[in-house]
Amino acid sequence: MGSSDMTQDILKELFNISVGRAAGILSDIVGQKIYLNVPNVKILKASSESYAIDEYISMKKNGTLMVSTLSFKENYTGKASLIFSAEKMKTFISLCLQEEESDSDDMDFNDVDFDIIKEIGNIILNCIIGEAGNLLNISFKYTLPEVRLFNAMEFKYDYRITDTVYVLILYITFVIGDTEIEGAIIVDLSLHSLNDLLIRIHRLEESLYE
Amino acid sequence: MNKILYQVLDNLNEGIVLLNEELQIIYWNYYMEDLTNLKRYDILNQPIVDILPNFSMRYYLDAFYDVIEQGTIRFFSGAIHKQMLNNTDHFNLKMSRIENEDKHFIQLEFMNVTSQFNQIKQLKSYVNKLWDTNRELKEKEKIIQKLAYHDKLTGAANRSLFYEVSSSLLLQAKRNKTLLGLIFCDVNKFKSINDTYGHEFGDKVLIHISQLLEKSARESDLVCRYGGDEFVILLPDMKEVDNYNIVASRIVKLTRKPVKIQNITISLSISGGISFYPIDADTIDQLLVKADAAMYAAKQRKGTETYFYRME
Repeated sequence: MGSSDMTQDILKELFNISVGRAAGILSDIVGQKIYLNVPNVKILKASSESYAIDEYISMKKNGTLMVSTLSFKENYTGKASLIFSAEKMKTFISLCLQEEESDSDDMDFNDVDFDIIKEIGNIILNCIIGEAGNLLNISFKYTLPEVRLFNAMEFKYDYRITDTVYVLILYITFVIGDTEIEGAIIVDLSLHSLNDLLIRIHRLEESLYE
Repeated sequence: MNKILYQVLDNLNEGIVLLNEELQIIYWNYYMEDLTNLKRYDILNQPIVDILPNFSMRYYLDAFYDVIEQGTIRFFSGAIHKQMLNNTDHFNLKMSRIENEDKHFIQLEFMNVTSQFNQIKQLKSYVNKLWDTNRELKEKEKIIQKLAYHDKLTGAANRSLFYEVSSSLLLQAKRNKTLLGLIFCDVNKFKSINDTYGHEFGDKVLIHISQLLEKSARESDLVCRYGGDEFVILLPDMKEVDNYNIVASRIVKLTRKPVKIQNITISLSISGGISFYPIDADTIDQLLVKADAAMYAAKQRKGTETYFYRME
């Protein structure tokens, strides 16, 4: 197994523990069993490779993405975004509130809907970044997530124009009742921050061989 | 300075509570006093879970722990956490850590979002009303369309629908080089039925005949009340001329036994003439004329039993 495979496996293991905890909190809050799983983790060079988000998130070609984004502060710069198809999130919101989904197929979200997604984004991103920080002995400081809607094409563009060199992508599966929702988390750290993170993971790798 | 800061917090239009690491209340602003009717001097140094029992739920306790230990910021939405402070208002809650002289504190910010909830509730109710109105209008539109294209008494297609459908079926037959059959039929002795039993009974007979023809026709056929006791059946996609017998024999079979209408048992029979595009005529009007003539020939041959005839 190459070093980068090992790194990605460690990250996958790490983040599955984190999302498991997030799933526990969410289940407690909404009073329904929720499962979260990270089937795949990738480290991509932002300028040369496609994020392939729309391939993973099943949605209409010109679909809308619902994105919760937090920004890192102090030692680490960059952003972390939780991305789901807006259409699926509409179902999720109804399931959370135990309300019947309205018949209309509009993609209008009100402030209350945004607050629900903000809370969910806060829990998932907190668990992932918080526990990764714990294991790697890094203290990340970050903001509350902001929730925005993007056209899938615009979203790609939005990230491509930043000066980010590497991005960490976690594909995430969310199961509530009979509904399965695929999403992704993009951790967009500056080169300096990502290097620091990778060095710490390499140290973890080395300790496994000792 | 502290005094100024406390005044600022008291002037805020949101609830501010500060907790120490033991989750005891060390600050409670005026907004919280108004909201809960609890004065700060009565509750200071008491555990938050004793004052606000909802906060003894596991996920709040876990959140307090995370905020104190890891410095994470937590957000709770009023939509999911419906009775955070009381039964009437909705609040969003933000929990964050404050550090001072190596000690950690938790800041709770309760933001009242009740007016947002009410506005959204009102908007949703408007949307639902509009949705219902729209659905009612669509149903009415369907009824209007049905009235425009269907006979009021029997529910069969009317002449307008017949002419619309027949012209497109004729084009289709020309394009696909298939036969289009047309049966023109009426009820034998209908005038005498009307004269004997009255118009109301006559109407019931027409309804019965219309249903009988619908039952006999194929799914792709169109049964139309052409006028009075006259009905027309369009038979598209016929491969051979003799195939109309499938429909005709069903009509014969269904008229074999007498029927009971309004407690009167009566024998009903139908005479019909048939014509085909392209063998007998090229236009719908010509097909009608040919089928009508064939119907009269059928009547002359067997005027009291169900019989179909095609003029060679």
